[in-house]
Amino acid sequence: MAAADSASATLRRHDLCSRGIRLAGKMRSDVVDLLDTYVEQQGLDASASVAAVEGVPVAAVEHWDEQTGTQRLLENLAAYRAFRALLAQMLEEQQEQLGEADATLGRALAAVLLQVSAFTYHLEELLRLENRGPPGEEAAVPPMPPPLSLFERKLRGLGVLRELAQWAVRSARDLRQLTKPGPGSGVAPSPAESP
Amino acid sequence: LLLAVPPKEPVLMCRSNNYPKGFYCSWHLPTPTYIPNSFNISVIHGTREMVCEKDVFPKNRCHIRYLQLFSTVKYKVTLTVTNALGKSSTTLTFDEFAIVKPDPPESVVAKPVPNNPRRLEVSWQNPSSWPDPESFPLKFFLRYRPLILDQWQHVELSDGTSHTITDAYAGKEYIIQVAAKDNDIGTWSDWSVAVHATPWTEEPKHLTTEAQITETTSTSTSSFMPPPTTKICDKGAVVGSGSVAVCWTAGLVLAAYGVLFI
Repeated sequence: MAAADSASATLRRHDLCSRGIRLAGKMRSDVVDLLDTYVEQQGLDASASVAAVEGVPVAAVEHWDEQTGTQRLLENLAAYRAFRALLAQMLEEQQEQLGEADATLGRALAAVLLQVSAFTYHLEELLRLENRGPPGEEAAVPPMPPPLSLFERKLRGLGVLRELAQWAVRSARDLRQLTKPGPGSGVAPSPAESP
Repeated sequence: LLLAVPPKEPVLMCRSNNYPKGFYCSWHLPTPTYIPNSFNISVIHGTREMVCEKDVFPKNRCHIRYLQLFSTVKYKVTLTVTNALGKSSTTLTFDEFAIVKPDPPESVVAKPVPNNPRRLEVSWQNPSSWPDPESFPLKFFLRYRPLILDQWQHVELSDGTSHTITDAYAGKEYIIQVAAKDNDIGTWSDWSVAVHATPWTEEPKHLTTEAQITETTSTSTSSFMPPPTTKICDKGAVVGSGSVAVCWTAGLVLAAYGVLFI
């Protein structure tokens, strides 16, 4: 019975990782398209440098290959919960700023927000499978930033989407690491799986 | 008499063919200076200066190990070339993902499929320079055409290192190449070395029959039996398709040969 449960959990984990990888790939593709639309609609320079903004999860990581599976999942979860809040805020600001005049950008933002929410769910499920359970959302969501000017909000939005595009690539890589056997997956094998 | 000149702006290129380990930059001068030159390269990532270790060979190349992955901060590479008469420099700025370009796939093999006149089985291997294809899988682009046509057929393959072409023209020699790209980032590799293959064709049975008739009715002791590997028909003389191909030119010759000796 224990072996069957373990095998079932392994299959479920593999299934969640595979779906998550596909979702991350689609998400990245949509975010890249959204970036083009955003830059155009907000009148920004696509090559503009955006300094790191407080509250925006940075995808850049050192010693990525040395992370355990649990570390990967926790960092991903914290990031996507933050992106969920940031995108919701961007959507609200965009609707206030442009009203119904630009439905295209609003729809694209909403679609990406949906994908981020779906991906967050995947990560929470993966953590439950590892008997860790996802941390409370209050701890993961960064505090609201101080009020910004319109131009600062536009630049922050650009920063959010750029980092989200990087995270989508990183997440696909992280989930692939989880499907590999060995220490990189960060999951101790059950007695049934041990050699 | 050659006049020494100060260096012109050097040509600089950076590329990662071994992501995520690192990248390399290589350079050359567009025109010779006819006197010794020295090259200095600097690599900045954000506020951090990185070391570009010069390769022993070729001498105009150095490589950098990635310290971070998935960064949105651009890399800035500046190459300065100096000689006794002056100096010149050039700068490249790029994203981590933008310069990722694998080497072409290796060991491309194309084989006919027995009893399948329209199929060719193609297989290849990941480039050996790509360090971790399991974590950083490659996707592939295969192109193929019969030698007699200019138009390529293309197939994009998201996994696996083999593919069966199922719409080849029977009996036609094909040229096939494969390219690779990281599944998520960067650009396509150059095309692999080209391989040639021809789909399987059935041995033309009626030619053996004609030869046998010629042998039994002829008063000569000689017989006409083509060796198994000899192509006695040129492509233009073959009519029909599939496994039953009539080589009418050779047939006429054989018939004439047979008549001569009756």
